[in-house]
Amino acid sequence: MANPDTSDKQPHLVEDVSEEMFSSEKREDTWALIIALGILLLSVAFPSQIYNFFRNALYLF
Amino acid sequence: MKRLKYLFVPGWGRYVPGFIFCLGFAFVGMNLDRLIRTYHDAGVPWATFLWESAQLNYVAILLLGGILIRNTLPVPKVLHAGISIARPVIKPGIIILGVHYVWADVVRVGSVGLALTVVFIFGTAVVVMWLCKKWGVPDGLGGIMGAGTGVCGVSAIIATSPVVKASPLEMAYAIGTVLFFGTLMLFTMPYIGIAIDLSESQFGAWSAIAILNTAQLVAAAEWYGPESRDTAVLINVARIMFLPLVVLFTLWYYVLRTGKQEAGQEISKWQLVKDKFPIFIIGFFLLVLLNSMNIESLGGPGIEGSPFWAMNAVYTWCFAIGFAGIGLSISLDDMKKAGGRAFSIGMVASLVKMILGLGVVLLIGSQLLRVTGI
Repeated sequence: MANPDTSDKQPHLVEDVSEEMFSSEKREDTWALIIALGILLLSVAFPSQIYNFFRNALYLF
Repeated sequence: MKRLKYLFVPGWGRYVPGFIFCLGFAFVGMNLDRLIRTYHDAGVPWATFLWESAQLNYVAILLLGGILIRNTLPVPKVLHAGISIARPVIKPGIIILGVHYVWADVVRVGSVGLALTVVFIFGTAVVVMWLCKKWGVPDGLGGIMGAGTGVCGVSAIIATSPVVKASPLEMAYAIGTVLFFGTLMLFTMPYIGIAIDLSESQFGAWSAIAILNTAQLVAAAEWYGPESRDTAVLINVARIMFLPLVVLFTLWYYVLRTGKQEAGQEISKWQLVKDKFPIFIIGFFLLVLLNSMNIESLGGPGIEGSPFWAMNAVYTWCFAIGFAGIGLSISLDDMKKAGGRAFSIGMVASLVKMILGLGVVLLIGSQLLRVTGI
């Protein structure tokens, strides 16, 4: 006999998973903004060094 | 303090090994790209073949290499968590790309992109939902497939699922289907574009219409060329802005219109819009605004020694890390979860968008789709 509670739990499981995934999307977006801001500030302070690091220093060839 | 804590996932240490692995893989991919390009410039035949005929740049190296590694070698489970957080590193790359644009680009390409977006998003979502009703597909699956094939793949599926009460199995089918077709188009569209001599800006628009997942369409466009990437990112930004509206439409179509709202269930539409809006694009538009203002101290991507010139060197590495994450997370076993009616619906929606999208960009031509940055 089907457990009458199971069908009630499924929508909540989907909502909980979606909530968690979407709060993680917001978290990703927040980190993306923080990282971009950090790169902007470093680029304002040390433009040539940042450029040389990402265009030259990181390459072996 | 609570907001700061929210930024860190409990047990964040488990993400470190996989993320470092992606950094290393991105480093190898970028250096192989530089090696092939250097030898190609020197006229070495094998390098020219790889660079021009096989289009083997860092995008292809990381995606194909990642898939190969993931599906042939035993990637330790301890790396899986960190690999999954490498993919979103594309987002800071997209924000930084804002220095490539001025408002004139946003108005011109953005307007065309907005028109294409409205037609293809809502058109696809409406047609898919209608087809699902006609074929007797459950509302849950129909709703998330409509949103997923119309807007932005996985994000749209996850956003819409609770509204239409999709089951976990339906979500798995929908996500598997969207990822399968996204991967298929990612690897076939660039070659189709080359075969029919599509301009870079036209390809960018085409990939933004046809490929549903932001990371995959950025990969396809970047693979094709820098102009293609610039157009694709701008049109994609226009598209993902519609995510809250599509969720609202789905709510209306499946719940409010049919009176299926549960007793006592309060649906705050404004809260829905706020929760689903992708806030990282605010950073993108802020940089576009700053670039458009021609602030001397910030310079521009073409002005040597300026901050924006320096930032322009960084975004490729953000993309490389993201593409490493994408390639390493494409598991053929997961894609087999795409099945049943979700697969048929996904196939129809993908083919229609691909063919109609190609027709539209050929009609529009390159001029209206080109980002000039001036």
